[in-house]
Amino acid sequence: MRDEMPTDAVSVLRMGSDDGPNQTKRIKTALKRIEGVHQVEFDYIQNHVQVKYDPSKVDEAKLKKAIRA
Amino acid sequence: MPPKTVTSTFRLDEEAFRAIQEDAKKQNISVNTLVNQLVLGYANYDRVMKRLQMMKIPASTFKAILDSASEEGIIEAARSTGTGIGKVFVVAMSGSFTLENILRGFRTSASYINAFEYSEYPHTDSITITLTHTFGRKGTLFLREWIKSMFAEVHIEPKFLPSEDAVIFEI
Repeated sequence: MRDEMPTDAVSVLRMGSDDGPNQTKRIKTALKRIEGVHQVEFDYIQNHVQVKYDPSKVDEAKLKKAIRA
Repeated sequence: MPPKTVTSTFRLDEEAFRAIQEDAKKQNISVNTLVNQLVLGYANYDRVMKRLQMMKIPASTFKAILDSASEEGIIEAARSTGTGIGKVFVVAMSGSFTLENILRGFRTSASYINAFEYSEYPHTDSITITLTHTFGRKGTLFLREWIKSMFAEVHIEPKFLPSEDAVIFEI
């Protein structure tokens, strides 16, 4: 395995195909409100968001819910 | 630390620029951010794809090809993809074929190819990886064999967990 195990989980998740001008803003705000989310990176071309988070504080289902709300 | 940036000036095709302006406005981001991501996509991914004569196909077409193929054919194709182009792609992108770079390749594939959603979940001495896809049962077979053959190259045997629409494994 790795020499040093990572502590953060990583998820690369699809955003909605086109949710109007505020989609990114809404998702960013929603994700940053969740305790345990450390980093949010958007890929505006492919419509993905990569989230690094503490898996002891939040699970992927909660992230998906925030993204697709 | 954020990546270093440089300032430069380019002349762009007017129609293309308007399309970028329109998309940037729609997504509530700056033209600079969008152009930077377009260039990053070229530098990190498209450039390598071109060199390796790779192409993008619709997910529905890929699924149709898998559905019409025999299971033996899928296994063979997946294995040769993992040890052939899959390995070359990771090396071309990251410089060497290591566990870290294979995982980086998965993240890139999730983001740029739109092939699957990806998650990496750390435990004390292992990592669970999930690739959620829409290619059906034969897609799971392809991805599973592809992953197995890639990790065999770095002497790691993933432990797979059963799932219909996702490939879940522990390394």
